Amino acid sequence: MKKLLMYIGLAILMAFTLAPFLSTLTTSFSTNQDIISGANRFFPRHITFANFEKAIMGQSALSGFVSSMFNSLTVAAVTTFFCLLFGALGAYAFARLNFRFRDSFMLLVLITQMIPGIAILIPIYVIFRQMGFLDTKTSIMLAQMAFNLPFIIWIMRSFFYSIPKDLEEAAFIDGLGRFGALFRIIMPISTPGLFATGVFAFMNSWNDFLTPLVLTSSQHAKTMPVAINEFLGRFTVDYGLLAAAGFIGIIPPILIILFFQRYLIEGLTAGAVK
Amino acid sequence: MNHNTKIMSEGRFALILLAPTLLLIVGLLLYPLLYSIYLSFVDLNITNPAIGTKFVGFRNFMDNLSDPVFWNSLKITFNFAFVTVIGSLLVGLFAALLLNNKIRARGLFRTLLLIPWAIPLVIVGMIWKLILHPNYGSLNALLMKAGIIQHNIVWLSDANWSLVMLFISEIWRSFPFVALLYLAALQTIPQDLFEAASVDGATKRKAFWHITMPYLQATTLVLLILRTIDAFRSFDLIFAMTKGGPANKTEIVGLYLYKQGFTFANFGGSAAGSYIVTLLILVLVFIYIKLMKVHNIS
Amino acid sequence: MNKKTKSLVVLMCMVLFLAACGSNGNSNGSGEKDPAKPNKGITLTAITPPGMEDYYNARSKAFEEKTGVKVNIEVVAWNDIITKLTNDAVSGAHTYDIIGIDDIYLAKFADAEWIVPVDQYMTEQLKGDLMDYANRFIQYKGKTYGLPWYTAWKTFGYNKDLLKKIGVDHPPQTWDEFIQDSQKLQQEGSVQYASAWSWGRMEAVICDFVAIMGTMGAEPFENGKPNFNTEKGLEALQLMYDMIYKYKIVDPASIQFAESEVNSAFAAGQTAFQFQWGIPLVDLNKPENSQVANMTDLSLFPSKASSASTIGSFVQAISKGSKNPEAAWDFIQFLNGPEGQKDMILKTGGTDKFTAWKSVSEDPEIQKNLPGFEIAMKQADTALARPQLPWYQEWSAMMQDRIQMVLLKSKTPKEALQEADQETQKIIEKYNK
Repeated sequence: MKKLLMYIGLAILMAFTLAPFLSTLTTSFSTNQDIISGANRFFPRHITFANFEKAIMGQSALSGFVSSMFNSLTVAAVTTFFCLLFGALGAYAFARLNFRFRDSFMLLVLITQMIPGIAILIPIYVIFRQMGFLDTKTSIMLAQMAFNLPFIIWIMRSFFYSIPKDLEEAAFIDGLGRFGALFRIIMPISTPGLFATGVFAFMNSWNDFLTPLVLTSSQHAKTMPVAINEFLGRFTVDYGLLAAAGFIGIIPPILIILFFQRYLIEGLTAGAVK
Repeated sequence: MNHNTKIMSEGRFALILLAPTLLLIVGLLLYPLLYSIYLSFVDLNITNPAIGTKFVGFRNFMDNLSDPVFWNSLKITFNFAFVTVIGSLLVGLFAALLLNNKIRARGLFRTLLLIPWAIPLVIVGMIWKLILHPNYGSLNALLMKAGIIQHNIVWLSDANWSLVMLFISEIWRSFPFVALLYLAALQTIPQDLFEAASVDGATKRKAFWHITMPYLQATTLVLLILRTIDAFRSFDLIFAMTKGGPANKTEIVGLYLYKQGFTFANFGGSAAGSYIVTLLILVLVFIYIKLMKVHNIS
Repeated sequence: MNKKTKSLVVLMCMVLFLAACGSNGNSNGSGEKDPAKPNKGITLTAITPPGMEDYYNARSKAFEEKTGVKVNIEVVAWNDIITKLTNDAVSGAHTYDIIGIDDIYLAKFADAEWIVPVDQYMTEQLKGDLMDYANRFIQYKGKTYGLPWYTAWKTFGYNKDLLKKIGVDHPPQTWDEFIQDSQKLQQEGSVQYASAWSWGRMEAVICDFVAIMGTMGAEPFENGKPNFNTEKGLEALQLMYDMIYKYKIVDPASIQFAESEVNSAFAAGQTAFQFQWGIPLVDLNKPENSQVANMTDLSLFPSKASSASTIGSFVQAISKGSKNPEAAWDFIQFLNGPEGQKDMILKTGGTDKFTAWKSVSEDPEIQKNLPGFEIAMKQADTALARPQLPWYQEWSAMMQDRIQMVLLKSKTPKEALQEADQETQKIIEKYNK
């Protein structure tokens, strides 16, 4: 009986979670005629790959959308790597070391998270223009690192709390300096936590819209969320194309989750975010 | 490393470790922060370059505070935050408790659960707008087939439905993150506590309130804070779905501030409004911390 | 620690200094002088909407061959153009040479001096060729700011086949006829709703209000003064309300629709009428896009006093930041002058890229390729421009809400217009402060 209730609950939960996603999938494989005549609502009446073709192939060459996917991947990968590296260093400092302003700095970290993004778009743009970095992937990476690091540090701190202090002391006795202790002892045991945080950083970067919108202008640097908006016509809308592009756009993050799901929970458990 | 070197002082080591982060934050966030504060005290007089930028004291703040449209958007934001924060926490907790049970293919279900979290907001908006389309949307088709409705409902044209649908789509996209953190927190509860409780004859429900809940308290606080900040900064989803309509029924403050800035070119007012919102979030966070009596937040 | 704090401060200052006073000039590699190509070697940047990348890149190449000037085409989504341009201008960057703005932003951009007047480049020949309606939106305070780009006005489309089914052989010419035909169509069961409109919370609802008020014989603003809280304004708003609630001939989902959804419904044969931009027949006649291919036609917008329409166009203009305004103008003219526009219409279709030149409109090649051309030209004469005011966006946002409140039944048309009038006074006061 209890088991049954549990499975009913699971079914409801999964339906709520997946229905919108599946509905989009249906749209992406449908012809526009079927979509607007309401012919197929649960399963495509005529299956077509035309929408995917249109999204991937531009008017003549590979579309800007494809290059934006590669840009997004590059930006998210690099941003994630540095967020993890710098974030781990910073989080360790907060979790383990005593220094002045430690507590007030954490407050500052929280405040930076609260400033509405719209208020700082202009100055961010000005900075990168002065540095001559506009329309580069580097500019997006740097900006995203600055925006994300406070949050990353906040999450990662707790992993280091959970590691016994004895381990470091043992390392010092073994003659490892502070860096040695950190990189050879502490970091390796924190891997699940690092993976988990890495997924967070990746998602934040992948989903970011306003930063790349303001900082990029060409196919060299435009990321997927910016490029996908270009499929919205002025007075027309191509639902099938949007759905297909949307579906392509979420494949990488879903793969990431697929691969790291186990570490994600294990890693967060190790820290049990506080 | 030399065996004889003294271990570096904590302060110095901390500075080295934090240097990259500090450099990025100071280099990239400090100036924007100062500039946005500066903006909130000036009038750029954009359409009147002859006058140019003028210091106006607190006028931008007063303009916002005396604008009923601003208050209306704050009210909607509060409702939005209240419903979606609590909603996502409840759904997330439900999902976490469910997927913490021993069930077959648990890993697969956990992965599927996280899908909405992986979808960029721009796309989330498109997905829901299509599902809710009055004539082609799958929601109306489903309800029609089930015999619940006879006529298509125009979800996003209706003052009440449009809000409800925004709540649902926001909960849909945000609960997986909540579930994830709760799942992690649930793993930390030592199983022997439950065994001891059942030996003592405690009911499952009692065990939940006395063992599980306390272990989730810290996570709940973190989630409350993060989700509240999120809700107050929400923008993309609503822009994609309703653009604030019908009338101004779904114009949350993020949309209002965007409009002030980028449509009206009133950047002073937009920045001042942003800081009023930041202050509100700070107050809320403070209240949460007091209410939850957890002090190790910073 | 002290020393560290100091070095931190120094570092901070350096970053700020860097940010505050670096400079980023767009240097032009100057080649040898060529009298035929005086601007050779210059590189320009133009911002364009999506959907026609290949066309613009080809035009840019052709322009380079002709003048030696290279033009980078940057594509920005329709929704994001104004965000990007405003951000670029307010930050003082002005990185673009050639920009495109919706005509309702012209006043703001001109007053802010983000774009420069182009009167000195407008030859008599160009001026003489420009159609009347085009002058209504490329000029502000007596100065010309660019050339029409993506020009369109709204036209009224109807489904011939559906009307034939109910025994009507001509499109409705008056509102009474429109209502009658619509009701009959619905009674016969041909359609659930005879029409859908773009009355969502966006500029589109104002465009329709302007046109409908126009058919009553007045404009929302006359001589720059509010004129909507009048009998004619009331009549227009009341008609919009009645069509949904009294006659029940308009899909209530119109309150959330944009033009795209209106067109989808019409293309699916679900509605019999639509008020749409430009000449949608071009696309509607392609069977892969629609189920009403060759079943639709254009007609003048139904009216009470006289037919009317609304203009919606982009203005391609020269950004204040351009160091080569002359070369920029050459490109604008290359793209949107009479020859350029003809090329654009022939190669990319006339749906929302209509002509602003007499010579093009008289060109038989153009007329042949655009179904409904004659009606569209007639409608052009009646097309109204929305008021050119630097505070137009504030007014429009306020007005959209007031109209929507009526359509949601939370205010009567009279209350809404009165309130809108008061709010307009407030906006004017605030602006004049």
